[in-house]
Amino acid sequence: MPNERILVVEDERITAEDIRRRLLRMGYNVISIVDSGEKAIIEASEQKPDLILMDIILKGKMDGIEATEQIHSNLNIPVIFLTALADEKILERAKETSPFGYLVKPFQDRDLHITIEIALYKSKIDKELRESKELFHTTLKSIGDAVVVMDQNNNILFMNQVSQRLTGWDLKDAAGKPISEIYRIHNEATGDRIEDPLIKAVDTRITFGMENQFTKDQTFLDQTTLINKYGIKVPVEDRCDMIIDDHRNVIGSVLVFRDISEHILIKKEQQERDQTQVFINKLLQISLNDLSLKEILEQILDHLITLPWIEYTLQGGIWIVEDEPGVLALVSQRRLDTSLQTICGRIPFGKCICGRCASTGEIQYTDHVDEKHEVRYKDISPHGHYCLPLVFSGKVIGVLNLFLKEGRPRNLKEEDFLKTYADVVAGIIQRKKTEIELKRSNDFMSTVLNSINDAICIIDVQDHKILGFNSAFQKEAGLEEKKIIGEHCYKITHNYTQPCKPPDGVCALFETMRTGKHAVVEHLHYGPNGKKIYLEVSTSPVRNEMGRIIKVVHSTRDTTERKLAEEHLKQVNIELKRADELKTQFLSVISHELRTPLTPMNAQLQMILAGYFGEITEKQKKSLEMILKNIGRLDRLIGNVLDISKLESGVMKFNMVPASINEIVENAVETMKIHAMNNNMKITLKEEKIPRITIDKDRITQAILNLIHNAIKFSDAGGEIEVELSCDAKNVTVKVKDNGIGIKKEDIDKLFKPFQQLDSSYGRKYEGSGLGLVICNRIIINHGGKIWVESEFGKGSTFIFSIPYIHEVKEEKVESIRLEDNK
Amino acid sequence: MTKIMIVDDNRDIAETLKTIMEMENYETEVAYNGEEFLGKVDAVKPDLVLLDVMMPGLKTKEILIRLKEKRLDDLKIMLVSVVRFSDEEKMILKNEFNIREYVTKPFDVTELVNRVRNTLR
Repeated sequence: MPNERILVVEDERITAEDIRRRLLRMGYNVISIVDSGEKAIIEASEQKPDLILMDIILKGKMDGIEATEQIHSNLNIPVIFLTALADEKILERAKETSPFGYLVKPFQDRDLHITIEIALYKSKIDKELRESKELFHTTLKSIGDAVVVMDQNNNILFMNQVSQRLTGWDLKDAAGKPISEIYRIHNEATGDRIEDPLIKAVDTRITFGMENQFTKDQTFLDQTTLINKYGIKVPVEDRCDMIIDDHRNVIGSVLVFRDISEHILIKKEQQERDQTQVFINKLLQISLNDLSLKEILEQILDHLITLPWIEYTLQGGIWIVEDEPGVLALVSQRRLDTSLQTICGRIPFGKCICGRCASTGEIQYTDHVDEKHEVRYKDISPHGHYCLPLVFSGKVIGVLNLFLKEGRPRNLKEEDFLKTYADVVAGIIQRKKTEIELKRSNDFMSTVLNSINDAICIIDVQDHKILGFNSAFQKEAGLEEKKIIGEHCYKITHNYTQPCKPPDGVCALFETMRTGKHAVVEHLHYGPNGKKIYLEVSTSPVRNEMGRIIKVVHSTRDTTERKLAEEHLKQVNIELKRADELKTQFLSVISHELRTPLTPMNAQLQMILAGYFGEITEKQKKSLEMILKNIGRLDRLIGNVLDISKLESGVMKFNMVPASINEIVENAVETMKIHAMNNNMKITLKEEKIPRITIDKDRITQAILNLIHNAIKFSDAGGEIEVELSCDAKNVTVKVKDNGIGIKKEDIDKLFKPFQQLDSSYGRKYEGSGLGLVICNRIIINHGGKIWVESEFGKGSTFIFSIPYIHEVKEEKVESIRLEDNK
Repeated sequence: MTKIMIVDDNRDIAETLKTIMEMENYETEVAYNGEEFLGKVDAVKPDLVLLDVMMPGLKTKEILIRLKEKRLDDLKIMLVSVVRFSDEEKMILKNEFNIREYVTKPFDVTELVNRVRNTLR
């Protein structure tokens, strides 16, 4: 054993030197030799030798035993006592210092060597043990778990700091006491005391590491609770291990436990979160049922008021804002008093708990019926409320009122949960409302669509499949609903196997796809019996949010009747036009035929009168003049009759062009001036300048000439005729005034009617065809104007006509029938 | 001698016009329809034609077109008709066929003679 450092304490010099020599020979390192206890203590503390050989009997006050005691109080240095005699008393004292060996002087080298080696070995083991113990203690101190060590009788041997803190017991008080007294536990779920914690720990957790953990089905209450010395409950998880010796005997046990309060809290929160999620999932599941809003809300209430940890009276109701803003209407309830249902059927915002909840948008809590509970009803029982606003998009759409047991304290965490719950309920209500609205709208749309006679279908533009249709379409197709939906439109409508292709089947759908707009296309089909069927197909695009056309609304209308009516009408029009043409032609021919014989008669008479064929007598001349006069009269009569016929039958064509009415009137007056002068009369014209107006110049001239002619005809010599032309904002007015014989009142109405003869009291000299005024009237009416007369019998008449500046004339272009038609 | 051609399907009218024109010292040639007129006109080379409107056979417009084809569109023609022509018709006759003179039946002999005289001047 090389170089162990040894201190020798020996007051006999020779002995000491002998020991030193022997030790050196054995290979030890003698670091010092001292001769007193005091010196030994100093040397030991300074040198820290591996071993001390200590003579018991030393000179001085302190002997070896005492010195050893003092050294051992600070240092763990092994000491071997050297003694000459084995005094029982001394040995007894020496023993107490736990010496590592004795050597009785004189001793052999072999004894010395063995004793030293044993001592060194033992010291080394001791040291290791101490270090190990230290490590163990430090470990136990530093770990968070509580550790309790027991002997084979389950009595406490050791408790670390944590276990002392958790149990409330100091080790010194607990040591030796049975574990059941110190580690008192019970099952929190059942409340049962667990009499033997070790048995429980051993029985339930044989395998190391199997902890008292939660499963999903367990509530957080189902677990072990430690009741400490002071009665305080601490939730714990624990385990126990046996200490078994080499012979497999149980010599003790170690109980390890841990405070899991925080863990439980986290678990509890997690569990609550999970449960909230479960409840909300349940809610959503309810909302997906095909039920009415009322039924859904009833199920929600059933679900909510039976939540396990909220102490309800199992009553509740849901009010929502329906048709009237600012008023809550009870839509769904559970176990609410009948009188309450009546009184609280409609609650204005702001009134009582529900109304306040709606107006503030905040949760209302009360633990009893107090003054805030404004609404009272018969047999009101003690209760509290959680009243939650149902808010959607920042707007209160209703309230959810839950009835609590009286005195049920407020719980903010619970309120948080209920708020989440209320938000989901609000979402469900809103969705349901939207669904109802949508359904109503759909129903309306489908009623409208089905009441339309046009066959309507909606086509997917991707594959030309029919997505929807109305009843007219189904009737047309003559198929069941399921045979139409999803079928290709060209199959249903045309029995084609391919989409319609231009030019045979120009489909409006393609037109809509091409232009992106509404399109109309007309088709002519032939029915099974060869009957013509006209169809008008119109298509409109349906776009997605990106603006792409995804569907097309395809509407088909049977326009056969309309088309046939149109065709018929066209035919009738053609026939009417032809009849008109025939009439025109007829009148033209009649006119020609009637006038033709007059022409040579007239000319021949004139020739005789003009002396072409020799002299004639005065009597012959008079006779011929009379014939000639009457031929003229006949010609005029024919002209008038023809004019009337044309006007009455609408054959007369008016050639409407812008013209100066001033010029027309001036020319007419000028034309008639000679005639007037021949009758010894005077014509005067009074006119204001008038802008050009659109008229038939010839016809208006004809009318004015006729009126002036009449004025001359019905006046006596010396008569005065005034022609006046004036205008206002809308009309042009022409007046022809005479101071002639005038017209009787009763005759005025007859004036403008054809072939109405006035009685003979006006005298033979006024004879005429009676058609002039009728023609005038017609001409003026055709210009959108009117003609009338102001007259006093015996004093004269004023004929007046007025025509508007603007007059829509639908006359056709004048036809050159005379140039193109034969007799 | 100035030559006047009279075209009218009514023989009495044609005879009357012939008499008047001869009394006024014009040489006359009569045709009773459009075809006859067109057949004779090249040979007769009249100075003036008194052309009736609405004769059987060729329509007036056709006669005028045929004349134009014969490059006789500068021939002086006076239309003799029972009905008056509208301004529009007169415009067409003037622009397309260079016709400016009209006589309405029944006519005043003196007026007719004056018109013929003026036209030929």
